Amino acid sequence: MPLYPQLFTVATAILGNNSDDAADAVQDTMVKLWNTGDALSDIRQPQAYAISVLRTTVIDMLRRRHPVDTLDESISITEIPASDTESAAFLEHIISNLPASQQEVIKLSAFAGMSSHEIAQATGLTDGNVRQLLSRGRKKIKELYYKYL
Amino acid sequence: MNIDTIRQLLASYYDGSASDAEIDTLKRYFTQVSDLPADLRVDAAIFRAMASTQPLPMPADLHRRIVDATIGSSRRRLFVRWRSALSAAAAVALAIMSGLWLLKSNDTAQPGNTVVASTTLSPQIAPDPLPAQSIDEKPAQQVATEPVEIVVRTVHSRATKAQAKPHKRAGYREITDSVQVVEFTSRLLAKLEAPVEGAERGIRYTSEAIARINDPLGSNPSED
Repeated sequence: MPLYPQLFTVATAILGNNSDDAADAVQDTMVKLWNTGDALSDIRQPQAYAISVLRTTVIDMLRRRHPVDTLDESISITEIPASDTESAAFLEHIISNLPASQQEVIKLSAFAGMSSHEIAQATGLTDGNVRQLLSRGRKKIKELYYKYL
Repeated sequence: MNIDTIRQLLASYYDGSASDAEIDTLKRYFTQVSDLPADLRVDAAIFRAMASTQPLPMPADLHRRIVDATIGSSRRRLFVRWRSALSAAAAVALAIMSGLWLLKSNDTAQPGNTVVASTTLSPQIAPDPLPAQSIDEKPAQQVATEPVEIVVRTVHSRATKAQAKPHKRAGYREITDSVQVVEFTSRLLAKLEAPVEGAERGIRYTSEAIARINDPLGSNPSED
């Protein structure tokens, strides 16, 4: 069962610094994959499929805990702690203020180390969409950093 | 590394087209180089923040939790099914054995007293108005040639209390000899097997007829 460590990395990238939630998401994902049964052998890219199942599981988990707030492109950062701008926590805080679609893609790229193609397979987006979301998200991060440097 | 190369890589990065290797190159550069142009300081902060991200340690019990939730759950369900099936089978076997035991305990047949036509619990209990036949009075050949009316009835009482009820129909004869019982039994079986043999003959005739229909001229090449 070597897949779950990578799933845990992706789960923590999406959920942030929450090991328990990430473990729960990975466990639920593995149970779903197990219940797939023989149909799993017909999947050509099981790793990407597993990540997509994890992503769905995490989204459901977040929706159960927090109401869905659709963020538009014009975000407003109410308050960011004056911490080290070169720290991972600060970067995570910046990313958390991005639109949801950009957040997920940026987190999978920056914290889970996934390539654009892997992100596309996991999210069901096209490579072009992923590239566009990465571009917009990274540019927005740089703009927000300029405000605090 | 040439600073112009870094700027090109950054352009690819913000365009969303940088590869993993190119992003790793940018991370290494910005974490190792401190003297940077002013326009690259924000980029340096971003890449240093990404490089400082430490992966969270995976819980030590996550593997066990996953196994319990998947394989362990399936094994438990299978175990419950097997246990239920074995319990049901044991209950059925116990019921059958109990029934057989009760049946056997009610049947107090003793050697020499077993009959086909009726059961006699004790040779002493014979309130039968019809004369009882013994082997000394009736030769076996005469018994074999006589038409026998097979009557089956069951006595449910125990040997100490039961009294065989006399059968009132004509031709009834109470058998108390085991040899006669065996003989009657074989004749009964012969009567039962006769229709079966007839059925088998009928099936054989039907098969031969079908074969003739399918190949009326036969398959013997010497006849051509």
